[in-house]
Amino acid sequence: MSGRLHNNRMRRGCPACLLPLLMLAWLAPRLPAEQPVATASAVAVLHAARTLAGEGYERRATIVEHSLPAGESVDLPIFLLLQNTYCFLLASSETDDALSFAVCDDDGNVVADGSYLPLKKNLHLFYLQPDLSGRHRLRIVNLGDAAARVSLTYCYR
Amino acid sequence: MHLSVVAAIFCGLTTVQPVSGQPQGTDLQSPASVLELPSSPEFFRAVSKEAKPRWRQLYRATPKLPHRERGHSAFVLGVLLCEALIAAEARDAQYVRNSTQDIRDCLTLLGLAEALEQRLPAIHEFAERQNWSSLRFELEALEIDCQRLLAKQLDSALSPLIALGRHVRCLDVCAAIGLESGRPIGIADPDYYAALGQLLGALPASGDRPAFVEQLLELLEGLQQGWSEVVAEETRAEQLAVTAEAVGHFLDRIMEPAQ
Repeated sequence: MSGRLHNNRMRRGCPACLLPLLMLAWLAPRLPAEQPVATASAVAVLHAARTLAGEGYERRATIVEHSLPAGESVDLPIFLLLQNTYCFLLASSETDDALSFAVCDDDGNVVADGSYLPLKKNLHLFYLQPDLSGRHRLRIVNLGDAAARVSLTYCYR
Repeated sequence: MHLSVVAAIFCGLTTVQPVSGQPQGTDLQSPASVLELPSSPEFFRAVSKEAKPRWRQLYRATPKLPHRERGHSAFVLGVLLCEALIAAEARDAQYVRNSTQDIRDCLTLLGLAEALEQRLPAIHEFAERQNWSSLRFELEALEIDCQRLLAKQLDSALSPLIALGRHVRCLDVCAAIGLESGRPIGIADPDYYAALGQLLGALPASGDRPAFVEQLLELLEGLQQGWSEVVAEETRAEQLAVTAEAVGHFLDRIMEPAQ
């Protein structure tokens, strides 16, 4: 396929053909030049966060995306407040059992792990009421055989 | 030309804005560090559980533009974003609208107004509809968009100043509430000040920084040191008073109108 326009009248720029197109272009919503492109896993956590908003949770607009090679882990720093309850939302491009997720204290000791709930395919919720305010780490381990793309955000209340 | 017309139509029709009443999308390519610090509404949620803040009494007068330079405008933009978040806590739609007007002025100074003009009406609409949760989400999304656009303008050194403006104003509010309740919720951890100080690491070398940045660094280092030395209840109350006074004075200076 060349991608060329095969309609001769259109190719010659027939005004009768172009007028409706120009009107449509004028009516179309004006958008910034570059719109960010969302990955499937990021869209999944956004939608899940919106659902949680109906349960009294507040959403973060920030989503962290990370490429995680097979067998590797990443520690993401986070600052938690004792008074709040958190729900972490994790989506990945890999299968459900390929990822392990844990919350660690600032020294790297695991505070809570393994209790995340599969919400639907490749999307998990992890509820946490921290014992202390302060720096923590979110540890994600890719136990699978292939690289995984991970999207993470959280809600709180 | 014909192809470009068709492309314009295609793009216009396939990237339709979200249904009214729903927050717009956000930049999904945020750096990992952005989740490192709590958002201002997270602090507000935490303090609301331990105290009864009178949010409307915590409003702060905003300066008249123009500001002195872009770094200053970026910091003030962060302060104004926090101001709108405080108004959201107070459920005060009129104050949100006023703050949004000031935010628009700051965005104009930073050359971001045109690209972000679609977000501001959404903020107004959420305020009108008393949809405070979506309003908070939208204000955070606006800040992320500002950072994305500043990076595109090769101005990414201004991004941490927006975040710092919001954090320092949030600190100001939390310290004021803490003074009233006697509990420094969320702001007693020296690591918090260290993390804020690290945001300044993204800025140019000290000689090229705006003067207020050096003062801010000094303030954060002082607070980090002060809170790390707190062991007893009495010293905690004392440090809370020191924090409230120091942050308040810093903001008073930075929010002075341009001469």
